[in-house]
Amino acid sequence: MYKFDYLFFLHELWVAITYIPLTLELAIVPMLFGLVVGTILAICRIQNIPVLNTLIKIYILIFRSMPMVLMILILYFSFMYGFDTLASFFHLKIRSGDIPAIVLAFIILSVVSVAFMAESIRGALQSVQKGQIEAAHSIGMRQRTIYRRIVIPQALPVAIPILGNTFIGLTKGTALVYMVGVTDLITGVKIEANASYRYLEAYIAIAIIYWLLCIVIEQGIRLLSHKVNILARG
Amino acid sequence: MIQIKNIHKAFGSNKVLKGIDLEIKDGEVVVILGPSGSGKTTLLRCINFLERADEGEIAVGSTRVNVKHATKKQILDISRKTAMVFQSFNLFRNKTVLENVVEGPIVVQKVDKQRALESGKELLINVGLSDKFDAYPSQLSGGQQQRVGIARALALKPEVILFDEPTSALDPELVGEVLGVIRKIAKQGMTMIIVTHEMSFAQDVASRVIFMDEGVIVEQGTPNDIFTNAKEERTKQFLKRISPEYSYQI
Amino acid sequence: MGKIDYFSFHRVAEYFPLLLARLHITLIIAVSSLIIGLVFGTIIAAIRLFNIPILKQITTIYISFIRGVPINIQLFIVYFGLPALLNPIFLKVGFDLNLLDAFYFVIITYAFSSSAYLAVVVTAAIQGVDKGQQEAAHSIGMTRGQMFRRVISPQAFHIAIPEFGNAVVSTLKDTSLAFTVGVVDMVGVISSIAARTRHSLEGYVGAAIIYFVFCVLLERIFSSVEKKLKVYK
Repeated sequence: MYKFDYLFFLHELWVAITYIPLTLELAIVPMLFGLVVGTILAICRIQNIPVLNTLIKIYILIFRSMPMVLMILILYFSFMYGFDTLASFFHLKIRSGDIPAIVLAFIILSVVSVAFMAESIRGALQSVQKGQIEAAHSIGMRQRTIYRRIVIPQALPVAIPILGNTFIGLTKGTALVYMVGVTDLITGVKIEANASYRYLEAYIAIAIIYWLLCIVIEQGIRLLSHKVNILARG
Repeated sequence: MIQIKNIHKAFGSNKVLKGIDLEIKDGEVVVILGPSGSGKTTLLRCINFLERADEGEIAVGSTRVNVKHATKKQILDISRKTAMVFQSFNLFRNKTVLENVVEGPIVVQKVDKQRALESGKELLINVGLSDKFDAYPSQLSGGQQQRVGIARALALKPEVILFDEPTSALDPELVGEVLGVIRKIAKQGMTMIIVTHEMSFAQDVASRVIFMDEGVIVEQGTPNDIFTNAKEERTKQFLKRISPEYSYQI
Repeated sequence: MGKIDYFSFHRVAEYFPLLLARLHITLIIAVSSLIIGLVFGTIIAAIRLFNIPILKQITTIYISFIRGVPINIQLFIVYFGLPALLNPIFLKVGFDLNLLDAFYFVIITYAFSSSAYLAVVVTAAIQGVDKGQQEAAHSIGMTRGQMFRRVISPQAFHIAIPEFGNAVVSTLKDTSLAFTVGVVDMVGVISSIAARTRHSLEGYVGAAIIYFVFCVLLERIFSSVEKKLKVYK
């Protein structure tokens, strides 16, 4: 009979909690990056800029039709190799191995996040009824103003739940960064377990932390959504 | 014969029906008028138990039910003796027009399939849809869908057909075709309770008109009684608002 | 200065047959998990739709857990936890769960995981059928059983198809993590290839291409099914 070591479990829980800030950073930074770049890409898609549109479409298609772990590994190796090639080309002393793993993680997660954000944002922006935009045109508003005053305020209530979901996805995605060598929640907790082989307690502790994080994020999204809906009604 | 005794219905703290008593004989065409919120639609939906009244008695044909103690079987019984035509048609989207019409007879009444199909086709021809047997509801206009709805109700050979604002969701030019079909059925002797806003139609078709307001029956009588000789002030006010033709010299 | 060989398309082509040889494992995992997950998910949906008192709360917690915990962590928990939990019973019949191939643990995990999503899909689909359809069925005197069988489920099925398609693609993508518990599927075999050749990137690219093809194919299939069924709605 497997004796569940409750004391060790609590200890692991505590270790996991100390890693929460890092996990959140790994989710929030790519999220913000994705929001900014994703919005730009989304607008490019909507405006239908000739060559860019197809390129973006392909980029998003590729990154959404592939398992996250493969994306991470491919980006990891490609980035390392590319960096080394460029470094030796420019005769720089630095090598990809010198880059802290966490920086790599941020870069990789940001690239991934952009693809998901761009789609979600495009969906939200396009959910605004065409009639609203047509009316704005008819009173002579400039495109930029239309976006600012008409489209974005109406797209926001729709966007928040979708982006919230994407954020939860990114948070769960941080569970894969250990593969690129980051000392994250999983590695940190496992270090303790390696000595005693008490992996079950370790993983349940990890699971609980992720679960709690996601619940908190979900509640936050719900609150935010509520507030935004009230604002949107006017 | 339909008998409604002392029906009360509240939604939360909002009392919608405050004691309705009504008796409808076979072959009668009863039109219920009233402002929105008067409870007329709720009354209709209580009759076939789409809504469960809080107290009172409902009798359809030989089935008499006390709404407080209504058993599942009794409710099923009543739902099988009544048929409803809905404001939003509610045709079964996953079935063709003909399938919609014969669904009741075949599945519920266990009528022989061949016979049901033949009667179904006849009914559809009767309502003017002989060329739409295999069409799906999504391919039909509103007026056509409602006529299928009426055929579906007729196919059940019910004791009474309940019409819940049958033309309110239709474009004006399609209203006429549906009213025409309803008129036809009325002439054929079907017992009907119709909630509608179509005044001239009501005058034309009804054998009795009921005016409801704030959950009670204010006045009832023949179309003539109500439209030209209304006794109650509330009735007169309502009619005046609906159509200037009905305003009186006081 | 010698050019370091980082990446070659030639190697990608070379690895392809090796990857494809393991494709069946990926597909078996995906299909089995989805089938079991659908059955289990429908049961959960039924519990939620019928509002069964204590069970419904349990399903809410269950779904919340599955949606909040990364799938690879779920894998580890099932992998370590199932033997720990059930071995007392299994050892009595002479079977040690610890010796069970990781392959089965993976299917069990993904079945549990997809059941949570599919439960939500099924619930949403059934609740998404227009209420008027139910009222019409009642008005012609159908029993609840007849109503459900002949009117609600066919329509719920149509509503569910896009989201179900998403769940299928999602499950397929999740199978890429089976290697973390040692399953030698498409991704798992890359480690052994890399051990020999020290070039894993081409392996990952090859696997990514195969996943990509399948995902795009599945998406196409589901949208064409959706389109075909649209006539009836």
